[in-house]
Amino acid sequence: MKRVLAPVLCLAIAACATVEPVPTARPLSQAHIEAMGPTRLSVTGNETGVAKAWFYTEVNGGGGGLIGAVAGAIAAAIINAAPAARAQKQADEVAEVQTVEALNGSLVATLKEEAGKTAAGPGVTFPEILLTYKAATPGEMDDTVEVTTAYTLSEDSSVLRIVTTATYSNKTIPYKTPYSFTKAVPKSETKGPLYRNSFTYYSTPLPIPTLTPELRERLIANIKESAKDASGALPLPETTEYKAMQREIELAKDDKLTPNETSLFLTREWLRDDGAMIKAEVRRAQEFVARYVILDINRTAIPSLTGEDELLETAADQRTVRRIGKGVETGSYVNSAANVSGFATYGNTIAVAKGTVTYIKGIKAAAAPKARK
Amino acid sequence: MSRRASWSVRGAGLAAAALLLQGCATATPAVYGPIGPEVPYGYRDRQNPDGGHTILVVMGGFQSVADLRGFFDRRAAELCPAGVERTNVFRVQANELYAHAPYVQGGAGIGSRSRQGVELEGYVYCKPGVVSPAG
Repeated sequence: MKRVLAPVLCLAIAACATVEPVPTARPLSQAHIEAMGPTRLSVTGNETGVAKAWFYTEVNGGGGGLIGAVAGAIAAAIINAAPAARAQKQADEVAEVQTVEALNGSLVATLKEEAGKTAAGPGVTFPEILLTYKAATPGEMDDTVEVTTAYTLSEDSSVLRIVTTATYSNKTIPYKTPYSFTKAVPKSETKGPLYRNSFTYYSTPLPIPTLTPELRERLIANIKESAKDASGALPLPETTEYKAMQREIELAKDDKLTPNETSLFLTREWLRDDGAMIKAEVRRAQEFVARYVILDINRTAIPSLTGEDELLETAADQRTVRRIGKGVETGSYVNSAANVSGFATYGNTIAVAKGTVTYIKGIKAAAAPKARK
Repeated sequence: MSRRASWSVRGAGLAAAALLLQGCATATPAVYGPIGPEVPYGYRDRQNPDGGHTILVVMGGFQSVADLRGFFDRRAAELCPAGVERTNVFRVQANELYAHAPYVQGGAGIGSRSRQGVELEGYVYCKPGVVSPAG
């Protein structure tokens, strides 16, 4: 049995490895555009607000048996306690100045304004724009352009990244791939939306602070402050919380700022003047999204994996809008700040503000009685 | 030596070997020159319809933004014999690989992240007056 299974597995793995890549973007054809005409657009209500990215370190103690697994869980708790708490606190603080409700409301308003400029057509136009929360109304909407957006502060909080995906599906018009394949058509190309593209906005990066002795002291003070419980007491020695605090203090004493440590200082910058900077970036990102979603849905060029990026727009402050020309991201749009000088990473986990979670729970609860009727 | 301990030693040896190999693979700094089929690190450029050039610089994961910028500025100077009017770096990216925590016989594995490569991309506009060489 093993002798049969092994070659079959090898073949299966080989098959996976040779699936021909296709662009993620799916343009409409001219016939589809004409068939669609005036179409409903739904902004999928964002349910995470401005999320705070951080890196969760996994620990697998399973190799040490049950005791090892428990020890691994404790180690993971110690390692991740401070980064998780920091990310949560920052997400909560940002949500106080930039609520999820405001994010969704402003995107709807911006799309309505942009759609109004092209209301007379030709092509696909959007006479009706609404806000739909998937928590209340799950599932794909038929014959509707759906716009979904994620707002994420990078691990070091230097950059706010805003990614929008627009899709359109219609039960009466199945997707047919415009690409030819040397082998079988990949399964992913036999289903899914008729139209799909993504639009990414990167904020102007905040400068990374230089680590000075004074900054290090502020960092250590902040770690101790964050470790205090509700009554203002520091954790007792030998507790997990104490070990986590001591670990963070030791890490803070080295000669470099980790992205997570840097975020302590940079998130504060975003919050200044009632979040003026974050609101300005969100407004600019939403204007970009509204403009290019409406333009792109009426564009029929089929993306190629081997083209070149196109520079579409350069703003007065040298911010650029590019259409990606190669790879699976080809056809997608990227709005980048000028003169970027550092790496921004987005970890493997996000923290969502408690206020945002409560707000979405409220929407879901309010929708539940209607759904039962 | 018990069987479990033996496996632990073997596991540790394998992990160390993997780290050493990774070190060998990434410790060589990129050599200045164009990227080609056999040359993964270096620069690539092309002229744009607006008269500017796009320069892409790719290096190994251990290299810094300053290293990337050094190649970018050097290539910009080559493309603009009369001088560089302005540059606009729009992308600085670290390609990270996140590895799940491995199962280690008799011990604990810790998930990790590593930089597989770094990239910098931007536009260069030359001062007018001299025709720049083809990129």
